[in-house]
Amino acid sequence: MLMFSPFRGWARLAAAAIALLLATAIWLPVVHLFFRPTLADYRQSHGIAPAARQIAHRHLRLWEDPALRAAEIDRMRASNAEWDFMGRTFLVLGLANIALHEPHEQARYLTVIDQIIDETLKVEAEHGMYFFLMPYARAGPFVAQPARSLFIDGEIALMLAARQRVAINPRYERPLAQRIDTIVQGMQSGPALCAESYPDECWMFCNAAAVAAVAVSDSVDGRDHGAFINEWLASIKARLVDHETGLLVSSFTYDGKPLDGPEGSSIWFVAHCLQLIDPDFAADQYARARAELGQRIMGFGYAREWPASWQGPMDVDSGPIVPVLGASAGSSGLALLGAAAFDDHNFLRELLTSLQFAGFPCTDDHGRSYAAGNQVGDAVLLYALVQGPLWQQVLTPSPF
Amino acid sequence: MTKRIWSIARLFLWGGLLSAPPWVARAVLLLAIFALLHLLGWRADTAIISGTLPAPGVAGELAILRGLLYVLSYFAAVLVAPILLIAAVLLTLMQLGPRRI
Repeated sequence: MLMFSPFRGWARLAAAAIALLLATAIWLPVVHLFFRPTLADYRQSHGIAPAARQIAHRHLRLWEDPALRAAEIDRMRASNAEWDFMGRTFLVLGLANIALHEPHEQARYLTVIDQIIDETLKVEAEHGMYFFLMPYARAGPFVAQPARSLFIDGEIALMLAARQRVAINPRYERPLAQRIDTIVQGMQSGPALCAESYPDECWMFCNAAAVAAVAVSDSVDGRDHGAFINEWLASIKARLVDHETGLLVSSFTYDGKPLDGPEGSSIWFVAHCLQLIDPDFAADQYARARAELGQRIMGFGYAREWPASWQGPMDVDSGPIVPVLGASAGSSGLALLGAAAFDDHNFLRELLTSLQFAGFPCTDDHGRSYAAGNQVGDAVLLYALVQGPLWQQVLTPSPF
Repeated sequence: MTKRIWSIARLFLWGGLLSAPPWVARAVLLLAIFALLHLLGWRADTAIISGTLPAPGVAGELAILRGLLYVLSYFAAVLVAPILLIAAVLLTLMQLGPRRI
């Protein structure tokens, strides 16, 4: 028969320690199974997955309800005015893709897209570009004059071009063409064929977004900036690739001197933009970013902000960085876009597992959001989950 | 009164560290704390972990506190409590060594 035989002294201590160690070894490797999503619930190549639809639903509500939107924007602007602006860009890109997925619902999506674009142009006209920039934009003069931020011009052009790619609205034709001309002229004037986002500070993220806007715009209005795009590619490959990793650096001076090395919150989106203009280079950049920044632990995926060869700070782009792991909220969020854009399904599912685990999803009648993030985070996620048709349309040669 | 509270707290923190029933009790307590904070709606204040700051002022500082407490209680409930429960089962099995009399 069995009898209770409690351990005594050191044996008791050892038994407790062994039990705790074994329990840890049993539990930690399986935790992710409770959070691992079915990929089809989040991303479908030929439709809108249920989770993506819920996220879109909440965003549509935000833009259809001014009070809700004001509260959300105020919350983000308290931390970073850029997030307000980028949240608009990623939402427009997301909605444009959904509109292409679902032509029968196009009118509703285009109404919200137009509302976002009109409000953004109005705010820019009333308050100037500084409204969407961080305060240090006023710390010194832009090298190129008159002062313009490619962060603003590039993303506004991308919003306009995406909208026009879904369906032409004559009242956006001129603003888009003018914005593209301004961008190309500004970038061509720079020694590295790049333009500033902040005084003497160029960002690869913004330059890649601007060139993507040029490519999308060309596919809409039939102009051809191919020569400029090829020159830009040659310039960044020659000047702005980090020798250690082979990745494009994230920021540099107006004359093309690198400031920061490769950065997770930049490179995933840059690789996605490059898909439009140099798919092989884009795939190479994604593969390198995946190797240098993509991480996996116990079934959870995440991305580092900096590669091992570069010591960079925790800042507003990276978001808080988890000590030891080096996991960055900003890099991990944009890695979702990279993984989705390059069909890296395993990494995408691991990243989504982490999101379900530590993003604190909230689902109700209004849709889905992630409490640990904010509107720009949700908009990036939405775009990651629905992207595909817009880029595909640009890459597919017109039959005419 | 303070002494009594302190002795209870000390008992909870350090008492019976090497046996299964207190591990189960602690796990249940961690789960209960998380459930309470969840029901209070503190999940909505967790944006702080992505660097999104609430509005300045006392209300904002309280939101940060709520968010941090929620995050701590969540990870305690999801990571620590199950380990304590599994360990309690394992320790009980170890103590129930097959011994014939």
